[in-house]
Amino acid sequence: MKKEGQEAIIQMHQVHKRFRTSRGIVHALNDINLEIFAGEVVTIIGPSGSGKSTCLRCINRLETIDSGDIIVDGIPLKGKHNVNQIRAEVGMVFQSFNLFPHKTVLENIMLAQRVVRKRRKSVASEKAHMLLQKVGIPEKADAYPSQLSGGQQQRVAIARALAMDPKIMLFDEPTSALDPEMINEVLDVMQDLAREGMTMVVVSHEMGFARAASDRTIFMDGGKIIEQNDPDNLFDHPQHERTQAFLSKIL
Amino acid sequence: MSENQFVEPPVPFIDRVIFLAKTLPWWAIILVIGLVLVGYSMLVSDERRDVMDYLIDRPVLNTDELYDVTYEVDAEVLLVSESYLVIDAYDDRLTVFLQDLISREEGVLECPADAPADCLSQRGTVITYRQYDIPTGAEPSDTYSFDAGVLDQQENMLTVRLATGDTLEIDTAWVTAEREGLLACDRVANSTCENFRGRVVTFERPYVIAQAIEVRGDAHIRFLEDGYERTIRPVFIKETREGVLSCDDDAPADCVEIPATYVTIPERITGVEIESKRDYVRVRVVAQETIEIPRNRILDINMGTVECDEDIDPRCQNFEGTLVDVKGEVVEGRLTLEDRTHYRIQPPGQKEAIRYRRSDIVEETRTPENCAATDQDPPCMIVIRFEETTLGGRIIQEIDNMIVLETVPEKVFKIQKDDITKTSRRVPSTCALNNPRACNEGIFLTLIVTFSAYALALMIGLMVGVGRVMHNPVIYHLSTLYVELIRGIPLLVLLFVFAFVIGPEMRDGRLFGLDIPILSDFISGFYKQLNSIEVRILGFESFLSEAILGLAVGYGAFLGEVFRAGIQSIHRGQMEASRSLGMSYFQSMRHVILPQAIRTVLPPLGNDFIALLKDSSLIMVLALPDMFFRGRSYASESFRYVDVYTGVALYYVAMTLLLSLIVRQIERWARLP
Repeated sequence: MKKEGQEAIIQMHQVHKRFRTSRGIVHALNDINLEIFAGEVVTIIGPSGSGKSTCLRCINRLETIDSGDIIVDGIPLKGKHNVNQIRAEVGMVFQSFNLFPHKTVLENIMLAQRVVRKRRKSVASEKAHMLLQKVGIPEKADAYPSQLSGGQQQRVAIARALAMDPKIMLFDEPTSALDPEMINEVLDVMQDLAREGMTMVVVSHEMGFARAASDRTIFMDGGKIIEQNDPDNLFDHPQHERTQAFLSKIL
Repeated sequence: MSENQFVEPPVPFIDRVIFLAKTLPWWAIILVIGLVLVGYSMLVSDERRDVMDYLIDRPVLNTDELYDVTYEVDAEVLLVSESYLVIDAYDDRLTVFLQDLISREEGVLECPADAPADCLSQRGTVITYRQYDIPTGAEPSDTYSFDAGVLDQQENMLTVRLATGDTLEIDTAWVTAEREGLLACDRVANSTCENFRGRVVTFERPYVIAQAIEVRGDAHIRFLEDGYERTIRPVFIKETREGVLSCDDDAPADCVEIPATYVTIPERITGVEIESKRDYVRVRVVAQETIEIPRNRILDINMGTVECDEDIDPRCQNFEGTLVDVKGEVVEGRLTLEDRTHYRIQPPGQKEAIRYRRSDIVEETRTPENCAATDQDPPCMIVIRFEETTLGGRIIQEIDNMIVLETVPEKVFKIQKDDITKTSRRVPSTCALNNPRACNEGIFLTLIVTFSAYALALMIGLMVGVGRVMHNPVIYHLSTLYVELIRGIPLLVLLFVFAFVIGPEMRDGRLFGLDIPILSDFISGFYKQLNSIEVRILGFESFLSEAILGLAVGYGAFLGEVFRAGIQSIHRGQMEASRSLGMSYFQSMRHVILPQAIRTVLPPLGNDFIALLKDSSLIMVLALPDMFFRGRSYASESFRYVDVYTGVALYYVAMTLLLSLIVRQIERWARLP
């Protein structure tokens, strides 16, 4: 997907991030250098605690970084003033859905459109219905999140993020909290999205999705990027021994 | 299949009531039954009903009292300085009749020999006039004679003391009579004077020529239309115009037009508004009453001057009419209640007892003797007689057994709306369904204080609660300080602090002992505003706003902690999700976190509301006439401690029960699916 002469839409340059915990300082991100181009679908895999979620959360500044630079869509992530502007352009889907329980599905999708994008109610509502159609649950518009299954909730969460017309979508283990039979309905939506050319960064262990939809797979461990390659090569011919050890356990 | 098949028949009303009752918790049903039983037993007894009535400010269905409206209009009146001068001689202000004026010239007014040391000679208009040294209240006539006690005599000069306590020097030639005896002191004129015993002389005082007075700009004013005269202060004058006072058509032939000054002053017209049209209003200043007097009550009928009540209408005029002396009314019945000011008497054969003011009663007899209202067997019977009165008016009808008297004629003013410069209304003080604004004591004050303090406390609590979860260190520490400080002060102490420390400080434009010049006007202005609101609510100045502020600040700390707990109970993923959609911190708070947090904290909020309702009885210590205060004063007058405090407790239980049911219902509505 990389085109000649094109600026990367996400640039991470020598990013360091440390957490202070009761057991001492954890180096969550250690010298991350990463470029992701528009239209690219990148999956990040790695053992738990390897920093892959932190890396993702840094991109829309849910976590701050200690040193280094992150440039998203040409805007450097420094200072406070441009944070909301960038976040509006970067959609995020969480492992635990985080739908707003006091609002209906429709209101969940309309809220940020109304508050941030200042769209009129009719426009926001039309957009919400269109997105619900797209994720395959148009009939649930007036239901509350607690009345939906996990897979449906996650699809609503995707629709909610898409309603802001983001340039980038971040997925933080979107299927980990789901029953196995609901995983596919979410992955289908994500694959459709990938096919439409959305820039996506996905933290996931779904090999099937990685192989079918992603352009590049990154393996992280101990806060470092160990290896990155196209998914078929990475899964079939891992170069690094840490990667080999990890893949042998999950495949 | 036809859809009509599924239409349910309407649920009968009784079924709906039963369904509603079934949703009540068991404790509520038991309490309701208890309340109904106790309440019934309180209400069937007349004395107890009076207690219950008193606690809730004695509401009535309808009050006949009407709004008193005061319209201020600019009236042009004539300034007449031809008959009076008002003069300013040092510290005395005197009125001089022009007929007494001897000379008038510009000059210097020198200090008299007995003037105080700081007296300064003044330049101005100096007049010389005849002075009558007469005691206050005496009417001017040709000769004046006084009794006076002789204190000292030197040759032909006597030093005497008048009944008013004033000492004078008089010439022995003026004395017309002399005796040994007592001269009683006029305690109305001088409360500290003493009776004189000894040589008392009666003397006649001729006119005295006095001099040296400065004329100031103050003047008497005569209204053109009805000749009523009064003094006004120059500050009220809005406009001055020079003109002439022309003679009327029916003026005598020797009438001359004289120069006069017209001034415009605000005039107040107070009365009951009886008609309001687009461009004018009609205000009844004096109502005409028609009185039916049974002949057997009439003692005497005379012709005479019916004096009007100048308190009601300062411009009213006495008129010639009939004066009827009337025997005092006699009422007989069973005494059902007595307190310091009123009796309640139930006439035989009637169900309702009637209240009479004790001060109007001149004579009473009780059977058995010295019985009291609380006696049941035998009941206390009483006969009361009212004072003899004289009714004045015009007889408009004479029937066999009664005459009908019409009192002062009605007086109605028509005021053009364009002329009105200021309008103010006085709300009648009777609490009634058609006048709910006067319902401001007893249970109503309890509710007013509770609701307003709670609304304020909610606002404070919300701000403090959000402040306690914010990362801004200044806001966080200020909120924490507030919570810790206020939670450490008992509510009762807090009320006193607000009433006697912060209130007076605010009045002086200070806060916490700091005198900040920029804020001081704002603070004292705010305090004044609060004061005017409380006067509007209660009708008098009180500690009402201080009490409400104290309760609100005290409960704000508790509610702040409730809100903080509520906000922290919301999973942080909610904040992350809404921030990731591009909403700011405050947008996320408002649209995502707080709506959920408030649902979570509804039960503790409801509990605190009920607690505040009960704690509002503490305002009694600031002499605010809430339900408890009224109950206590009633009990101390009537000694009905059992009835009063049972009644107070009953009302509180009823209110809290109702409130907790309402809170339950709100929780049910707010519950998420």
